[in-house]
Amino acid sequence: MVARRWSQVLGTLVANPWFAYFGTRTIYQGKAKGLCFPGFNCYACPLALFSCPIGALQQSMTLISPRFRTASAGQAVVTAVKRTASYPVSALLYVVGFIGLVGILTGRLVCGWICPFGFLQDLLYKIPTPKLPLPQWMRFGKYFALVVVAMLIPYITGVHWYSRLCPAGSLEGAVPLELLPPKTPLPDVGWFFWLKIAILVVFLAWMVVTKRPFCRAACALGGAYAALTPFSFYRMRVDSAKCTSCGSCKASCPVDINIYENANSPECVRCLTCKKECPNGAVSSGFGRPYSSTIFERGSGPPA
Amino acid sequence: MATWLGRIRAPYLLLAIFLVMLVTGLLLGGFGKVFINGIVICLDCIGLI
Repeated sequence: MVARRWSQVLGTLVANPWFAYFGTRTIYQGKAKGLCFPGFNCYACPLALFSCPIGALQQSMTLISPRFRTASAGQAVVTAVKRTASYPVSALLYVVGFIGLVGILTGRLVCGWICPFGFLQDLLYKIPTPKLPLPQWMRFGKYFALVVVAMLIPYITGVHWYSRLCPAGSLEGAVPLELLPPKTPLPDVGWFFWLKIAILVVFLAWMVVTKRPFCRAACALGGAYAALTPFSFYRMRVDSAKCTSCGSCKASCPVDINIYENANSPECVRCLTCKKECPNGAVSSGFGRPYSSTIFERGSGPPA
Repeated sequence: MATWLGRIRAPYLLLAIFLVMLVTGLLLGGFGKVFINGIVICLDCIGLI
């Protein structure tokens, strides 16, 4: 789908337009970083203009943590944050409200159409190699990543561990900053950097052989959107009168689902490829009142 | 479960809750906090290298 590819390119550019970095070698620290980008994009990326919602969520959890600390950010910054954190819960409200609003309105539409990391996975999967399916149980990983790694652990430890291990952070933040260092001198590369690189390499290799493994198994933002997808106002619909269960939808699906089994599956990234590929025009989509359709949507399956 | 949630109009309830959270967060200065957080986490990531 040409439109989706252009949308993904545009999403990547909108999230990362700070090309001034090449001249100034200074990470953007303006007001736009107070806004979250709806897709998964590291805000330590030298080109990033906006905040990563999951990074912001974790940092908000650490702000309300009884063990609040920013281990390596420097005492001046820690003091500055503490001084401004008169309402430490406000950032959490803002971020959860933002993620929730995007999720309830569009479900995982963002994952399929504008997320830069999803885009990367779509491209890597095009490399011709033997392909492997993702074990079904792994899809629960994204919920674990959201609740435990991105929320609970940062609250308990006061440290944003999801960001520290995130392959998107390594690819978009750590590696570019190492290759094109900012004016502020960087500490020497340590073992943790290599651990991050190892995680990144594993995921990159996995992306070549499996459809969107990070989105499906480890993305905390995808987990949040997935949880809201069944209730979202953007709906996928399958017309039971037209569907013949031919399987064209699953064959073209970037996340390997049968849309006629569950039109609004939490796994669906709303790429709309199935809508285009369906030979009978049985798949449709659009904004509407949730649960209002007379066409079957969830679990009722196609006609016998 | 999903039907039951639909019956109680969960999507509208969730929409309202998230909207209230977002607006309340903004009114209490959440934008500024995320802004500061963005800077902190950037610096922290640099520190990890």
